[in-house]
Amino acid sequence: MSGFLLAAEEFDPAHEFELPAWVSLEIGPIDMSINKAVAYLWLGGLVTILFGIFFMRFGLSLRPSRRQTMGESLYELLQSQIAEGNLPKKSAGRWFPYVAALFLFIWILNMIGFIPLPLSDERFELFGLELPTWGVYAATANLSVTLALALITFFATHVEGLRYNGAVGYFKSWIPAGVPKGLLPLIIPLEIISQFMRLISLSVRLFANMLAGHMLILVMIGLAFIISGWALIIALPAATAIYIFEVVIVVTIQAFVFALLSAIYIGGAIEPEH
Amino acid sequence: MQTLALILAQEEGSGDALIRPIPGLMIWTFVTFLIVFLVLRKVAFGRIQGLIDQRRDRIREALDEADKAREEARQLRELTQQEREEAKLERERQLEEVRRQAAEQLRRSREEADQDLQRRLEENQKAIEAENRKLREEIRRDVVELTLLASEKVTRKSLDADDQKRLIDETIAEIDAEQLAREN
Repeated sequence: MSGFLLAAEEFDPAHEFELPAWVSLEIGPIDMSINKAVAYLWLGGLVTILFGIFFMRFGLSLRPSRRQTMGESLYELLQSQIAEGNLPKKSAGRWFPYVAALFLFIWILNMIGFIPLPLSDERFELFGLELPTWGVYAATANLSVTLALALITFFATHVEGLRYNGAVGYFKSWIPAGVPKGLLPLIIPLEIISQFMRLISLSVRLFANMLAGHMLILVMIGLAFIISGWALIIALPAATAIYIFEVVIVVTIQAFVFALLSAIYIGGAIEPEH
Repeated sequence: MQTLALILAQEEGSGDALIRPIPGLMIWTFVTFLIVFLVLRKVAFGRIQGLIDQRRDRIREALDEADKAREEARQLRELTQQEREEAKLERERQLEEVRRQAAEQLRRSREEADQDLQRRLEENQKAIEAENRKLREEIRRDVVELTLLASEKVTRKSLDADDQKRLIDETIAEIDAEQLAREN
């Protein structure tokens, strides 16, 4: 029991989400230090760009190869499932690339988050060399990342709403049709709050799902090291099952939901009656 | 129980860091996503959208051409059918004309044959009548000569011209030429 307590004191899954600076960088009052989350963001961005170029750029022809078919299928899937019916036709050309890029970026950030990479802050020695340990980390399991992406959608929504409908028309569209005038003092604050709640729900949904998935996996992996004997028979399959569930389902669904809600919010602002 | 309390205490300590927004990281997120978005829009999405549009146009053109070809084939089939019907009508018309001409020719030939026959009959009739007249004349002459001969033998004298004329007239009057002809 004492060994178990000692191990529990050393192991804390939340430590995996701490972000010590690799390169300190401050611009004015803002700490722009490069850390593990920024590295994962860059890696995710680079992989997203390479993914897009590989599947949707090179060697394209009217008679598609298998690679091009995959790229086109993904592109048309995003068009049909996210853009069509949510973004008005008049603005689909402008905003579809945004929601498609958003989906791919989040999806790849999520996927990378479940691949063990040597980007951990912890080090180990091998033949005298100090190497980073391999670990799993998702940039989207950080609220700052998801909040920044949600803010882009939030501002895009209201800018487009104002641009297409004018200030009066747009703010009027927030009020549901048929609401008695007497209820307006109650409804208006609620609608304003609901707009900000969208921002919170959009960012927290993705962040919380990714964080929870990683926490569960890390806890299971940690248990595998802490405990021994028969408990491993339970911990290892459980960790594997959670890992597969997260990679196969949660990663894609959360990216899809984020992009879909972004399309719905922007489309709804452009055409409130939509 | 002590273990659980220890883990919870650790969770509480690091909990704030997990939900505290970091402006620098938010800016890095914004910048990274902006680059990804611009590159994908410029390099990948535009290209594949153009290709999909191009293929869609090609398919639409191919479908239009197929519709056009089908329409032309239908028109050609109708035209062929129409021409076939016209040819059939023309053949029937020509056959009818040939039949009509043949019937006309037959009728005309029959008429000509009838006329020819009639003409020949009339000619034969005339020839017979002329022959009858000739025969009657010869008979009459023979009878006159026989009568004169008989009269001279009976009277033992030659008859003068007036007697001969009178006798001839009487004889001729008594001879039934028709009967003679029938008997001949």
